[in-house]
Amino acid sequence: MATTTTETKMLTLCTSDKQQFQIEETIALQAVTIRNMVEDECASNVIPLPNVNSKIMIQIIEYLKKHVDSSVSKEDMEKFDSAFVEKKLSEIFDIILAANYLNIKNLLDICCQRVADVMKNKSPEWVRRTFNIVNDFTAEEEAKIRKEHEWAFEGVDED
Amino acid sequence: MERKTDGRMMVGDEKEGRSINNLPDSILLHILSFLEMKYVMRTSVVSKRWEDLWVSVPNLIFSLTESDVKSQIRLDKIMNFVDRILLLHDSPKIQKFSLTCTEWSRCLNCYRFNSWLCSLVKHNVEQLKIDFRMDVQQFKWPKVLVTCKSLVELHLEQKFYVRFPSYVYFPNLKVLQFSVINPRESINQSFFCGFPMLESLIIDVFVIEGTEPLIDISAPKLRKLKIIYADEFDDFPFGHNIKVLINAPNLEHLIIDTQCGPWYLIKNQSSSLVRVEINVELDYYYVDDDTSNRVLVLLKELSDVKHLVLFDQTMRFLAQVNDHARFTFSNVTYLELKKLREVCLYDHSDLFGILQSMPILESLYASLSFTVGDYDSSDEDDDWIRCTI
Repeated sequence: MATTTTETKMLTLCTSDKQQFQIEETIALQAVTIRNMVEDECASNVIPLPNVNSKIMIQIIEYLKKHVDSSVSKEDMEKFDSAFVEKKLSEIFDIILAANYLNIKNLLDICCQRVADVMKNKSPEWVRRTFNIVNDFTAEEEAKIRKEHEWAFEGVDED
Repeated sequence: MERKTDGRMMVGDEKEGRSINNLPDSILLHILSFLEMKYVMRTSVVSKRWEDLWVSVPNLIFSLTESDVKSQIRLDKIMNFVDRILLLHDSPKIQKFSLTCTEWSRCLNCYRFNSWLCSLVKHNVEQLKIDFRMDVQQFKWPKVLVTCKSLVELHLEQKFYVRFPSYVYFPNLKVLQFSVINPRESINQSFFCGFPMLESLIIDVFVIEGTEPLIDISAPKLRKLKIIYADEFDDFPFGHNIKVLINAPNLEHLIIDTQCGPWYLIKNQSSSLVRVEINVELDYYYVDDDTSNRVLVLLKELSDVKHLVLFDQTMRFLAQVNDHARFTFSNVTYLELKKLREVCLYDHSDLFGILQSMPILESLYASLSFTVGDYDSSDEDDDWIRCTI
């Protein structure tokens, strides 16, 4: 990638698989974890991010680049966000973990919202299948919980 | 930028993918906080790990619909459900409690509702949103709530129009929304002393009988204010004698959504006021002198603003009166015209009138109240702007 000709300050992020990403500091500082590292001066030129791999980093940088742009209107930003979370759930979980580690609140929120939307009004069986959750209740135990919170189980969507 | 090109090849391999089981409880709770409580409870049977997560979920959201309140038995069931959840909830802090109903129907049992409010105060609730019908005669605010320290946002929506008691003190409340029916002397300076940190206020005023009060909004830290005002009878607007005084030196954003009713008086208008949105409903064919004076006084008081949003009727009214009562918005750089009617596309004269009163206008956005296929209004915007120059 071409080096900058302007005076923009750049940061280098190093992912778990030892890939290096050079990005503008203003973009990277939206991640509170990176901001803290820079402010505490505990980071040299290269910031190690051992909990994020390069595949996820590329997506996170895409998100941060859009969100640093103050000229984007609120509506356009919402459109970008809803398109951004249209990914496979396994990828969303990776991004959630990375956003949590890097402390990027809005990114964490939109991804968690996406997972919540998938669960909305679905039966417990459907949730187990979709999210690969193993049912470790006995039939009696499960029936007891359902009875306890009876109202919550009315009007479930067809699977 | 260096990137590993084979990275994307791995995405398709589901076995390599992460599952929800890899997420820590704190994140599962964050996911659950976006769900209504009904759906949160359903997750308690998916596995043992999920069984007790709900007791720590920070947001308790109950959105009831018609079928939930169609009989007293069903409503009782829901009240039992809320009782149980509040009783068993285990975290020291409830971030948000929201109870809304789409129907204007049955009232909640106000004694039980009161007990919920007290329980929420014990859980240091930060945001409270209520939109549910309440028996106004029976309901009494619990004292612990109206002096609650933890509360930051309080939204009392239209179905819940309960008067505040004479003494309230919310030391940390920043956002307040409430309705007033037939305001008397109660909304005044000393009322707002009970909200020393107030930054955002939505006040919904509804007049059904003749009163002659002054609504005095005096809030030193207020940055955003929205006033919604309605009279019960269009032909005989009682509200004509109501005066609304706004004394908010730090106000940045003002929205007035109103029938022509009250007089607005803005005191100590500060340079901080940047954005104003005005939607005054007027009878386009018949505007009496009294009404037009009120609107003119309001617009003159706001003439220093930088961003102005006008709705169709207000815009055309302004254009009409501008012929004889000429005034300029010398600082407006951004103008947004909302819900423009079809006539504005064929007859540009009102628009020209408005644009002429704004010498340093930089951008104009317009939205239409009708749809014309894929009509691209942005092109039209450019034309309009060029016309002014």
